[in-house]
Parts: sequence; structure tokens; C-alpha cells
Amino acid sequence: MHSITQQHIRERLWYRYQRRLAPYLFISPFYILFVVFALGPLIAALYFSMIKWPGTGPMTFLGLANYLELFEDEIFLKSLGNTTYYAIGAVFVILPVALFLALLINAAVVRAKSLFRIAFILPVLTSTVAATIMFLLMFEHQYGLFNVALEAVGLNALKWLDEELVKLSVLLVAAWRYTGLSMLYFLAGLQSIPTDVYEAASVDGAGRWTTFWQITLPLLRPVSLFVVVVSIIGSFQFFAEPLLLAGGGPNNASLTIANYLYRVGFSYLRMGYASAVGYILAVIIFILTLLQLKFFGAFGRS
Amino acid sequence: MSSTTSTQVAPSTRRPLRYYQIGSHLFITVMLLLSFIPTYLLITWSFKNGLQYRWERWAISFPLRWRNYVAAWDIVGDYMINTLIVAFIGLMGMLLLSLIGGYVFARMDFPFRETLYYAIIALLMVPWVLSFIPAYMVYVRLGLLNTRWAMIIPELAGGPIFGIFLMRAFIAGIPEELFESARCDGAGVLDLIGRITLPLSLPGLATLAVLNFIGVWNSFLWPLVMIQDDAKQMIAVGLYKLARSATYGGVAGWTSQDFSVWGPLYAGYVIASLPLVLLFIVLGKFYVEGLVDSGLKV
Repeated sequence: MHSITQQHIRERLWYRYQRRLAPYLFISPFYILFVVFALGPLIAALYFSMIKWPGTGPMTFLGLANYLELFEDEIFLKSLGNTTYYAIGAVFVILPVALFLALLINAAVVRAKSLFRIAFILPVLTSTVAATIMFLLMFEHQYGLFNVALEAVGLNALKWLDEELVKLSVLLVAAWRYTGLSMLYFLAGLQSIPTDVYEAASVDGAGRWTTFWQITLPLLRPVSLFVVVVSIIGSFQFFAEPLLLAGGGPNNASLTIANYLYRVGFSYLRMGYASAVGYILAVIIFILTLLQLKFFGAFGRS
Repeated sequence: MSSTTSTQVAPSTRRPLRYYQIGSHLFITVMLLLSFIPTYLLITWSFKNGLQYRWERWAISFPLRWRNYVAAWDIVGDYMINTLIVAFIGLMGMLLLSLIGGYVFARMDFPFRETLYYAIIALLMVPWVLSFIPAYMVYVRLGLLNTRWAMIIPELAGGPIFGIFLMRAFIAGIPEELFESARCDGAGVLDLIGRITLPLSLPGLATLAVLNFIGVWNSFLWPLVMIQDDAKQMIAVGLYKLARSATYGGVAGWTSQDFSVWGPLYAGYVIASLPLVLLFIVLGKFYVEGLVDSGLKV
């Protein structure tokens, strides 16, 4: 009798213990992977950003020397400028177009919504490499589609991949590929706005313009925050398109930070310096994200 | 054919609706045509031989040269199979981890829950390029260079960050009564996850699957440094190498005078885009629903 009770208690304790532990057990596989392969490298990057290491052999501790060098590194500063250009283009050119398209498609008067939705998402579904090479051929000076079209309407052919225009061309490729995706996010947000809100506004005599600024845009704030953050992070990680279109050139005119980081790490074999490039990038994105959260008022609501 | 979706602009009967309607359709159609041009060229060029490519570049040429696709499959087939293997294993693991993580954070109560949750959400905003070099070194140390694991693990370690965020919001929206009545019937946690949460969160999982698959399919920088063995190479890098070899080293311009290389190359691009298109046709509806129902409201 005595032993049975003890066993009973032990079982109950184990049961309780197990229940307490269950949540941790369930999420531990992810956290282990996360710490080893995501968080670990992130923290290690801080240390690596202060060393000199050519990929093999001993590491030399440099302190902040890598960071100091960065501020005088003209190519780095240029790539930072280019990346900022792409980010500004993504947020202030691509996103408004995406929002405008989403508004139009969502409007009651437009028919065949699902057709338009799928048609605009098609560019996202093509392979990045394939799409960029298509554009490369369309940008070609003599036979490319863009110049053929310009000449057909009596305008001068442009040198799309020269130093002056290459950033714009890269942005054009990005616009073609990603406008549809952002539009889809906006559309999802628009469709989650209840119809009666608009009906109420209409009863109150609000015009189209007022409705947009006073109702649609504020209600879209969570989606907008999401899309802006994703766009900015995307631009700061922008890698394949500038590389494929112009190799980051000419004269580094289209080079992004990610392109430069790769070049420093794997062509110049300066692992420490490349990590410093990465960390500066992280600090910039961190500040930008805080600013956005503040701007969109995400702190106040959560 | 009246639309039942929410109206963006409440149509007032007095406005000259017709002009507005025509204008909207016209604008969207023009944008659509512009956005369709590269796709049109890609498909048209994939059916051309060298001469057709040289002389009839912008039009559809007949007879269609289906042979290009046979030639292309010989080149891109292996890259695609490699990518599909990696994407499938990684995707299944990622979805499982996201589902469990989402359930735990949405439905279970335990010490440090918020801390643990925000520890990952904070990293949602971190661009992974930043830790690219140390990550590379970790993979090299663990002997993962040139293996499929090097492609699968990032999906499992990074994918669930957004996955848990999305699934938590999604699962939090499932009515508690469902779980309550299942518990009364003696269901354990695994039943609650597998029998209730899973079927009800399919749109969320579809959203994740589409996003993740697009990511893996276009993943370029990571396989470029991690995979040296061409037999294990992923599709994006494979296509890149292909373009380089077709143009004898320089992608830029018309460096290749042999115009017959282009047809199969474009056919390869078309084939390489098909899985994404198919996936979207199958899951696209869920994908949009999932976005509406979950993450974007948080």
C-alpha cells in the first residue's frame, strides 16, 4: 500500500513536471538550430569584425581598425550610397505604384480581379537569374527592346548600362519583379478592411480623396509597415540583380553593400573586414527599423 | 457579374462611372502589358533557332522549336532536381517547426514565453547577409561545405523566424472552445496540434510554403559560396553558370555570335520558372487568404 502511494506520487510529479517541460521541449529543436546557425554567427560576426583573417591561418586582433578603415573606403561609401538609392527607390517609387495598382484592382468597378492579381504576380514567379538576363538583353544598346522602342517613337537611344543610368536600370528590374508582390500584400490589407467603414464614410459625404487619406491609409498601417520593412531589408540585401546586370559596375556604379561584402570576403579574402561591412549594415538597418516603428506608431499599439 | 468583395470607392450613382471604369481598366491593362513583355520574350525566344533569333527577334516564329526544351532539360534538369530535393525537405521541416512554435507561443503558458518569443522576433528585422562570413565559417567547420545540408539547414534555422511569427498570429485566432472540447475528450497536445491546429491553419502554412519556396528557388549568394560541386548545384546558380558559358564568359551584350545557343538557354529559363508557377496555381488562393487572415493584421 505504501509503495503504491509513493509510485502514484512519483507518477503525478512526473506528469506535472512533464507538462511544465513540454513547451520547452517542443520549441527546443528550433532554438538549437537557431542558436547554432543564426544567432551564433550573428554574435560571432561582431568579434570577426575586429580581426584580420585571410580565410586560413592565424587571426590577428585589430580592435576597431576595420571600422575606421571603412569610413575612408571609397568603394564602401559608394556601395552604401547605391544601396540607399535602391532602398529609396523601393520605398518611394515601387511601393506607391504597388499601392495604386492594389487600389485600382480592389475598386468595385474593376472586373476580373483574380486575373489581374495572378498576372501581376507572374514576374515574382520567374527565376531571378532568368529575369535579369532577359532585361540585360532588353537594355542592350543597339538591338535591345528599350532602345528599339525609343527609336521607334523618334527618341535617342540610351546607354542603359553606363555609369549614369545603370542604377536606374537595376531599379527598373527590381520594380518589374517586386511591384506585384507588394501589390499583393496591399491588396490583402485592403480586402481585410470592412465594407461598412466605406459605407459610413460615403454617407458622411466623404469624397474619394478624403476617404483614401482619412480611412484607407490609416487602416492599411500594419500592412504598410510590413511592406516598407520588407522592402528596405530586401534592398539592403540586394545581390543578384546588380551582379548579373552589370557585375556591380561600371566603375562600381551599381555595386550594393551585399555585392561589396561578397567581394571583400571571397575575392580579397578579408573575412574580418567583410564582417565589419556587415555590422555597419546591421546598425543602419536597426536604426532605420526603429525609425519606421516610431513613424508607424507600432510601439504605442502593442 | 457583380463583385462581392469590399468596395474601395463606394460608387455613387451620379458620377460618370463609365469613364472612371474605362480609365481604370485601361491603366491596369497598360501596366499589365508592360509587365508581360519580358515574359512574352522569354517564352517566344525559347522556341527559336539561331536564324529565327537573329532575324525575327520580336515576333513569334514558326515552326516552334520544341527541341530546345529537350536540350534545355538535359542541362537544367539536374539543377532543378537538386533544388526540389532541398526545397522539399527544408520546407517540410520549416513548416513543422513553425506550426509547433506557433502553437506553443499562441496556446501554451509558461515562464519566459514572451522573452523567448521576442528573442526571435527581434531578429526578423536582421538582414542575414550581415553574418554571412561567420555563418560560412560555421558551416565549413561542421564539414557542411558542398553538401545538401548546407542548403537545408538555413531553411530550418531561419525560415521558422517569420514562420512562428505568422503561425502564432494565425493560431491565436482559432476559437478556444475547439481546444477546450477536444481536451475534454482526452486529447493530448500532439492531438491538439495535429488534429485541430493543422487543418485550421492550412492557409497560413500555404503562405509560408509559397514565400519559402520562392526564396529557396532564387537563393543565389549562399549556394554560390557553399556548393562547388556542379552535380549538387542549385538552380539559380546553375542558370547563372549556364548564361556565362553560353556567352563565352561575358553575360553582357551579344558577345556570342552563335545565335543557336539562346533558344535552349531560354527554354531552360522557362522550365526553371515552371515549379514556381505551378506552386502558385495550386497554393495561390490560400496564399492570399493566409496573408489576409494572419500576419498582416498583427
